Amino acid sequence: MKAVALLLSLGMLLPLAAAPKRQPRVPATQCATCHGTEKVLPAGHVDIRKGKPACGECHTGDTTLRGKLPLVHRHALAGVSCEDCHGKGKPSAKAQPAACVRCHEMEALVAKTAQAKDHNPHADQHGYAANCNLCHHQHKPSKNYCITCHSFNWPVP
Amino acid sequence: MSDEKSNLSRRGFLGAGGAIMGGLALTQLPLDGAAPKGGTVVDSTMPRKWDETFDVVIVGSGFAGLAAAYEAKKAGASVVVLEKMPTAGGNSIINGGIVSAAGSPLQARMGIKDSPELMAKDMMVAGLGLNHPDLVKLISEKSTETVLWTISELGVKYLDNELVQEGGHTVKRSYKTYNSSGSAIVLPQLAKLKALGVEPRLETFVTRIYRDKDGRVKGLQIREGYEFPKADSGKLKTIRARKGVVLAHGGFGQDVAYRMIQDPKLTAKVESTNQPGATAEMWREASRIGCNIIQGDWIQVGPWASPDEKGFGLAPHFAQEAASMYGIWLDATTGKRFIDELANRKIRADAIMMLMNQGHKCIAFADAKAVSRLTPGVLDKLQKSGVVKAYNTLEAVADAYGMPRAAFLETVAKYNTNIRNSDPKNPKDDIKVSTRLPEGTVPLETAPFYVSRLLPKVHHCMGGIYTNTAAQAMDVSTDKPIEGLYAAGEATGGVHGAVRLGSCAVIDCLVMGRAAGSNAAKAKAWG
Ligand SMILES: Cc1cc2nc3c(=O)[nH]c(=O)nc-3n(C[C@H](O)[C@H](O)[C@H](O)COP(=O)(O)OP(=O)(O)OC[C@H]3O[C@@H](n4cnc5c(N)ncnc54)[C@H](O)[C@@H]3O)c2cc1C
Repeated sequence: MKAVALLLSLGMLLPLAAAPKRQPRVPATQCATCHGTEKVLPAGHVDIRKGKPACGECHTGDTTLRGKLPLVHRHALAGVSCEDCHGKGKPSAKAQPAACVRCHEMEALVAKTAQAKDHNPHADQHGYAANCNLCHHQHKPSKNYCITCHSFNWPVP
Repeated sequence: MSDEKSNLSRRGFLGAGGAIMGGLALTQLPLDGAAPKGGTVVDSTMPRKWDETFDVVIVGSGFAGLAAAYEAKKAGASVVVLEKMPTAGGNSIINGGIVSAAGSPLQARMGIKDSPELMAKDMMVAGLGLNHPDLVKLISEKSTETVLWTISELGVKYLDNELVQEGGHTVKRSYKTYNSSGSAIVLPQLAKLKALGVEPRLETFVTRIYRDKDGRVKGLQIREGYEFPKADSGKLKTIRARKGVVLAHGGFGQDVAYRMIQDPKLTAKVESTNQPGATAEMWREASRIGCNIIQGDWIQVGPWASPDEKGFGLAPHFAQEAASMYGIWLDATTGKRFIDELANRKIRADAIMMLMNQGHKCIAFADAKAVSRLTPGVLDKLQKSGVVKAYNTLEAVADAYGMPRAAFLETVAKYNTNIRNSDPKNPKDDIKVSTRLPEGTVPLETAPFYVSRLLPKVHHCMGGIYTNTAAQAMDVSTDKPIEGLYAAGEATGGVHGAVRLGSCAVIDCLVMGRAAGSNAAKAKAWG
């Protein structure tokens, strides 16, 4: 059961076809605009047109999308477009942290993760937390940069 | 790599192929008849065009590189700092924040007598005389001035009333940053530089040093947008250095291949306290262009690390600042002490490794009074992560580590008798004989008792580029400065000799980094 659930959620994350077309302003609920005819949702998946809050109704426990769904999808489902992070024109290599903190206020993040096990990831003494890109990736899976040197283990959205 | 291969002249091939024979062989075999005027020049192919130009170009964003950048910028030079990793600060920002200063105001306040001469002597004794005395003298003499500079100019905060006596120092002389981390120095360095308009360029990997036929270093090749550790990621570009290049690329503690060339014992099995980017590409490149790399096989293994956490972690604070200074270390298999806990790092690490090879396990032991010396918060974290464990009785300690109870109790009792019978101002112990014991050493009898397990890890590269006291990198064939090339910090050799004393690296990096930056800024521009 667990395995099936995992496969289902992975099926959504790792489409076998080529990388999706990048479209600057597309409602996240219209998979085909970026993914073309490729099937990205498992067969029989519920209609996703309701957007982000609805995902969490089914994706709990083992099938939670936390830390699994590329953030670009979460952003898109929340109505954030490519341009909102990268600015107009051809996107530069990485969106700057300044773009992230326009919505994710740093102090609020620090408070939100204050009770994290081992250490607050947003209050590290090396100042790494100011560079959101170290842990949070939009177009590939996020990763916990702290484990380069520490054994802290957090799910990274 | 392919572009580099195609550039290799016959001389370049020899140089790149054998770091050890590189310089020597080349100077003995002048392939084109005459030795080049400026010294060893290996593959002098200059780029056809430079993408960017700065007066001073700095490789590495640790203590040394940032100190160099700050002085160079303040002297009016245009400056860029190049860093291959996605974060600034290298080993410096994860460092333990302990900095030595001889004859400091804090020592005066605490009634400790010290002098630069005594610090130099301590460094030379541990360094087995392999240290270059002129460098040691300069660093000791400038130690207090430099720590005071970090306070007054950078705004670094240290603990007010605490000094550390690292192993091998004869007195307490090391300042401790408020958070027990080098980040307390690096972050203010970065902030000051930012205010001057200099921000390290991250993910910028320096792949090549351009040294021209006239012997001068003129610039660098970089990979912009480099993704560690993918060697061929990023875009190749060139940067011209009008006045000088400062090599502050740090050590190679995480480079198993290079470290095994220098010291074959240090296989992948030996862990390291260093950041993953502490690798040797620039060591090879500096050799290739004719730097004299000295004492590369003196690689320090830190005795105080723990198998129960990754890297340096926090255990060294407990094992050194509590258990070594105010407690004892034990061979858990016998319940006996096995070493002078305040001996230098090599003596202690070698002793542990020898015991481990016989299947023994070693632990660091302290009581409640000893741990009260730790920076607030540190013990808490160590206990939460399970790296340090607390026990209410000595018997419980013995049982937890499989120590023979009687032997362990006797060991503690003997130590306590030694301390109790000696003058509190000048405590004495029959095993801690290599240094003076810190005042405030008391018998180990206050529960709870604390223990960490010991595992030596590769920590510091004592060797490196040979420089003079002006931080100029020296040519392997002429023993003269390589024009346009400066080096500082762990990338350099000769300061620490065989064994670096704890807390002497930061001061080395800051003193020599500043010298490198200000001298580079003063150099005559070539174009
Ligand atoms: C965990 C730890 C704790 C320590 N604690 C103490 C202490 O308390 N007191 C003390 O005195 N010493 C301590 N040391 C030693 C001391 O921190 C180091 O020797 C010192 O930080 C070295 O500084 P640096 O500026 O020379 O190099 P680093 O700080 O290592 O910086 C070098 C930088 O250069 C970069 N680099 C390397 N090659 C390239 C390249 N080709 N292109 C671009 N960038 C490159 C690296 O990624 C790195 O960021 C500690 C060391 C460690 C690892």
